[in-house]
Amino acid sequence: MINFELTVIDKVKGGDMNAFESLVKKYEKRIFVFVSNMTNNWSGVDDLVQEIFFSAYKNIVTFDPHRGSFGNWLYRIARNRCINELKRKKEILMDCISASSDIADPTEDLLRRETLRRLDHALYQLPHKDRELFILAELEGLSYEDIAEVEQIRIGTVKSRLFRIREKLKKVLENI
Amino acid sequence: MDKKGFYEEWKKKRTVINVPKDFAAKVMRGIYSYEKQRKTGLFCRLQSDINTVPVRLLRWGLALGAVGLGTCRISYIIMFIFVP
Repeated sequence: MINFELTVIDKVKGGDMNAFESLVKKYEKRIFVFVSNMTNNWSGVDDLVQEIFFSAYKNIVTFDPHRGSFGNWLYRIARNRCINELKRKKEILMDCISASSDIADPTEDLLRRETLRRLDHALYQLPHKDRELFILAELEGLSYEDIAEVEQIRIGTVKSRLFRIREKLKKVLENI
Repeated sequence: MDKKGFYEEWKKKRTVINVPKDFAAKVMRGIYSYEKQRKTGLFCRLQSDINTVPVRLLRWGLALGAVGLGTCRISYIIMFIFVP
């Protein structure tokens, strides 16, 4: 799979822009999830994701496969764009979780809604850097090594920060 | 459902995203347009079939001509404003 990716990247570097489409198709879902969660925007991230892929295309000659995977390089571009976007716009806190459920018991349904709402708020109260880490680890399922590569920090730092974030969210759940 | 169950549900819901069907095509349209502009744009230096030296000279000539005409026009207007 990685070899296939490197072949495609070499083709793009060689001027075959059509080859880039397969990379977009492979990573679009992951980048959408990352950007939507980072910016807490669930409807208008198309343009931002498009800019991220466009930026990746323009800078693909600078991508060095010896320094890490293409996916992690793309996450790094996405991360930088999201940080710029968050600096530019004031964050709007919205509940992305739909309230509909098939739980019959009203008390349990209320508890469920409250839990989801509080988790949303807890996520968006985290500093940007911590939020990135949490999204990459818990929602994108990246390994500690990959996160360290994306964030350009040591694995030990990733582990300790994730531990702290998880403790924070655990407290949120305990307080309900 | 316990709290851990709610947490898992929350995580799952946060990863459910509807990517527009033709998203990759949209990205590629932007890239084609960028590449076209890069290869054949007014002041680009890249060589391609339709970007030969005479064509580039013609473009520069037209651009400089337009700027010159614009300057003359502005001077003419200013003259009428300030000269009684």
